[in-house]
Amino acid sequence: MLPNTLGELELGVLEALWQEPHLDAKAICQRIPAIRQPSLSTVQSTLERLHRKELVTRSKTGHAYSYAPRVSRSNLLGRLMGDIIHLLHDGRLETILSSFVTVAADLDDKSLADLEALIARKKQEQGRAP
Amino acid sequence: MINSVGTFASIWLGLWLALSVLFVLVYPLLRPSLLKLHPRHGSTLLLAYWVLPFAASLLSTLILFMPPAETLLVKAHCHVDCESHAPLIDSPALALAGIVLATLVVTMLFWRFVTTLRRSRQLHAQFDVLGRRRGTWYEMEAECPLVFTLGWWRPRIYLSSGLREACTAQDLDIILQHERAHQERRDNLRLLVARLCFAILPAPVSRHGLADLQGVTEQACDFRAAERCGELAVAETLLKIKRLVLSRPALLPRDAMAFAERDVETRIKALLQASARIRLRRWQWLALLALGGVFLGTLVGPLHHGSEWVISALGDHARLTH
Repeated sequence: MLPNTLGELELGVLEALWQEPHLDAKAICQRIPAIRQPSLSTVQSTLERLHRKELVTRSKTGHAYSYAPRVSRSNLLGRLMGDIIHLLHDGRLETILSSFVTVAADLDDKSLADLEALIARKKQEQGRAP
Repeated sequence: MINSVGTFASIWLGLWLALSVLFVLVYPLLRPSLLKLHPRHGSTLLLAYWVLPFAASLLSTLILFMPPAETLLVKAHCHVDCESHAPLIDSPALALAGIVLATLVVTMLFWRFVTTLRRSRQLHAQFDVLGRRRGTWYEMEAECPLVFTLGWWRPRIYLSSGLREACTAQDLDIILQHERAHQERRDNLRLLVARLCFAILPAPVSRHGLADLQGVTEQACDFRAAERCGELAVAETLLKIKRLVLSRPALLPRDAMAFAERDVETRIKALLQASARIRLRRWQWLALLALGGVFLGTLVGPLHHGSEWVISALGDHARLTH
């Protein structure tokens, strides 16, 4: 399973916090699009999960908690991409995604230089060398 | 009823397993010819090759249990009477074992399909929220140079901002052409079908054949991009992106060093020797299709008699042990 997998609601809550940090559960609930408007208690339990996953921080203001994101959008994406790289390498995702080049360190400098020379030679053969 | 279903399940599973083993054993003989074909044709033929054991076993077992077709394809012979008949297991216990085994296999395949589908949907949901749509593809705000096509029915292209920034306009065009080819050909679905059709064998046995399918599929998309941008340009972009990926060792999994498939090297060499690849003509495709039909037709007779022989041998064995 993906270590950094997040549900749709978790992402919706994070999206709301990225747009405006330091919100309480009620304010977050209002900022989630009306189509998937969850109940306040669902948002509270989602925030609890995100807090346990160390993706949001919280501080008590009055009776309620105020939440802020602990990771930026690009940081979370970086983590997800890292998962993709690992799963691609393991071959566990190969039937759902295809990648332009693999991350495997299968070519050393000499092989890369050989390939470069091969391309240059072909270019020359075609009369396109500079 | 149990006996008929059990016989059907046992014959289908037995034949699927036998054909899968046979196809794995024969593959090294056919491989050089298949890899000489134009990758677009090669990938289609390779997919057909890996799907054939499953499809042929299911179809021929179905024909075996359809009296009109069975009468045409199986030489008339008599047991107690001379009526048209399908092979039948006498023992309810053996028939039940066949049903249980087939149910297990089908459940395993279904489970594998559902878990992969769930994972794909999760990834889609995440990337759709986190990515930004740029026309026909999504940009992901991440430093690592990565581009991929995700999904089966309606695959989408995701490209990291790290890669976009490192690319020239031509590189980006080539990469997107390549990924669009995956999208149009529904390559992820093709790979899934091939993998599921070979799921009856342990993964290490079928690994090399399926890796070839994956490699030729990538080449087919490289060749599609080359139709618009030229083989040399695609080869150069491949090399450039590979260098870029390798220049960021922090992104590589620790065990990546042991992984020694020379994927990009093979693809670049294939592009540079593109003119040497053989394209199949229409009559050759028709001949192959006819060959497949003949293979299926000739399978039914031996399958009928072979099944009856195995059933009678099992019956004798059961009687002796009692």
